[in-house]
Amino acid sequence: MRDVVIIGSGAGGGPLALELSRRGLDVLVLEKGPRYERQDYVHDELTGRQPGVFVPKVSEDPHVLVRAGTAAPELTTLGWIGSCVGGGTVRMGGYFYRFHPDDFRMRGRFGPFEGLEDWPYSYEELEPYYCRAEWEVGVSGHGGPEDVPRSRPLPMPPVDCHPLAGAVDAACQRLGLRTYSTPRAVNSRPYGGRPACSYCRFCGEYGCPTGARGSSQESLLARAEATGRCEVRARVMVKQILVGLGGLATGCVYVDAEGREQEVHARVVCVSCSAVESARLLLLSKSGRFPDGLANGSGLVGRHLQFHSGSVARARFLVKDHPDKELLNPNPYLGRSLMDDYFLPPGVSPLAKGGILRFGISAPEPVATALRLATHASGQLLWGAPLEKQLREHFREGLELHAEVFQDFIPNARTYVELDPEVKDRWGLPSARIHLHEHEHHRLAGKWLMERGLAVFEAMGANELKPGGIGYTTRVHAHGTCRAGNDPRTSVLNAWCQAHEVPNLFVVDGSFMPTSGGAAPTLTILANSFRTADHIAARFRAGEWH
Amino acid sequence: MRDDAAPLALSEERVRTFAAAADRILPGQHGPGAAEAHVVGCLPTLLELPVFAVLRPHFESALDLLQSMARELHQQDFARCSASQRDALLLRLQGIPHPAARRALGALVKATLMGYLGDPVHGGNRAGLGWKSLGLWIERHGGAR
Repeated sequence: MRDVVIIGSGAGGGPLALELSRRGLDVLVLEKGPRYERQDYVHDELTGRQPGVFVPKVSEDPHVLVRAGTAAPELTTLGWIGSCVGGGTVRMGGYFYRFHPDDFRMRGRFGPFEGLEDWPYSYEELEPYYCRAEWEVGVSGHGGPEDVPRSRPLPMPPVDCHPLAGAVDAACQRLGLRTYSTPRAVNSRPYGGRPACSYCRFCGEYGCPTGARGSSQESLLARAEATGRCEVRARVMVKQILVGLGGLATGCVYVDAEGREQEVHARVVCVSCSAVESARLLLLSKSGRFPDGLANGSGLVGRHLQFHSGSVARARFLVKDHPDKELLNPNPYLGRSLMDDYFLPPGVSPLAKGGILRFGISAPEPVATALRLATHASGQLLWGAPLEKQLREHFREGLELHAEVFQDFIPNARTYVELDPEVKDRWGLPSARIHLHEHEHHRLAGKWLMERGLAVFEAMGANELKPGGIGYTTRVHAHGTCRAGNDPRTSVLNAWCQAHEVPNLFVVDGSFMPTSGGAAPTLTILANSFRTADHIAARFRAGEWH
Repeated sequence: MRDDAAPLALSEERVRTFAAAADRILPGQHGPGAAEAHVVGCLPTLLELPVFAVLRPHFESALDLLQSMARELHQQDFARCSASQRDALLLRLQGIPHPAARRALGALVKATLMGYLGDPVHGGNRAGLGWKSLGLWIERHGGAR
């Protein structure tokens, strides 16, 4: 009998594993995907992030997508965040923003709007855990917006930035906007026994071969295992959580890499498979007491699914027109963000909520870029000397910047997860069927925010402004499916991410979040997990589960 | 997962045709071209890539079309045609008003670029000449440039 079994090893599972094993508890982490090592994380455009490496192949392990207004379900990879030890944090860019205090009270601030609901705790209650996550993982940066208060500075100064960072600051100042240093889970100096960043030209979507980026694997699980009290088992697929006669979770059943079924017994069960898969696991865990899925008496498991809504603006700067700006300096970091547009002025959208604008330098990605350049604006394919000329001009004569924002995905009745009636995964279990409806706020806010990004590039003297996508549903963030709240009729989990109906079951990834925030959620997921870990440890200490 | 019905390797004839076509797609007018960068060396990796599996039929169509046009018009293999003859044949392929021809040429250009700019460990982009022509260097295991 283990003290704790944790299902999933990403941003939710990592803090639990570290904290609970540090406090003397016996912890088992079960991860569906493989365990990679640093040397496996190659910066190879052709092979470094292909299907099956971080996210399952659609042919082997599909999700199903039904878009509102269409009849035909399609197989998709949407809803997979990262299937490997470390989960999605293994391939994240590591943008570690804090949410704004009003993200925790969206309904309080904006009134009823679709599925928006307040969190069962405030920013102030999470704040010490934001600090804990920033120091445990290792976040570099400086300062931040005044209306996001902090009780402790970041542990590391910002990474060195490209000379253009100053131009971003100056242009924003002229526009009356206040830039701040983008907080990154990237070591700007050796930290946590891991080296400083090597300033490669890859980052997000690839693994980090140096260990400088603070994935759950590098910064949390490694130390958890070093306590001697945490075992991480990779390549095991949990099929079901087991429930005893008393209505408590008793452990789980998994299929190992050799195809054998094994049972694990534990005093406490923590689920952290990311929002779509955590909901699926609960829905699969039916029993006499829970005929609609574990902890699902409310019928809300799988509901309030939220991804993020993304928008992007790009701009090109030519060396000949910006001779003083060292455009071709290979430093990959622009490192600037704006929170000025986190709330929208009246008239943009029925919901006056925006997001953080993150300014960055587009990675060279020579293969992908060349493939794009080979198709002329007219649609004609380029080859021969004209193609060579285009390639050399693009890479040698200018630089592309982007401004990206992740806005709130509005929770709504038509976006949710259920078990698919037909499609199965490779273990024969019903796959997750995702129903998706994108509220028009995504487009309205996205268009405005994208134009704000273009305005900054224009103020910087960009040679070419390139409007990008607006309000697209992102694939790398998922939230909401096991909503946390104080009322068991309208939530699955309480403020400690404990299932209302199952006192020794916790769901600790993005599933708990009533709203998705206008920024990447990873730091918030980590902070919440540290908070829940403290709570679980305290209850063990009080003798609750022995 | 590999489709077992498709042969693992390309025929020698198609490989030669690819090398000869790549030599005109990136002729090396102002720096190393596809030939000097040994683009064709990347083929074994390309043929294993899931993303290339979708392109492969169109890629092979392009090679076969170029070869058959060369034999018809010049009574010899595409690979033996002169540079200007090969350019004319590529233009001819580009001029065919059919979506399949456009996809075929597109796949051929894509394969050339993947072989020119993919990591040298895969056999193309010899000595990083493709990257160097663009002022780039990419460390396989992290590192700066």
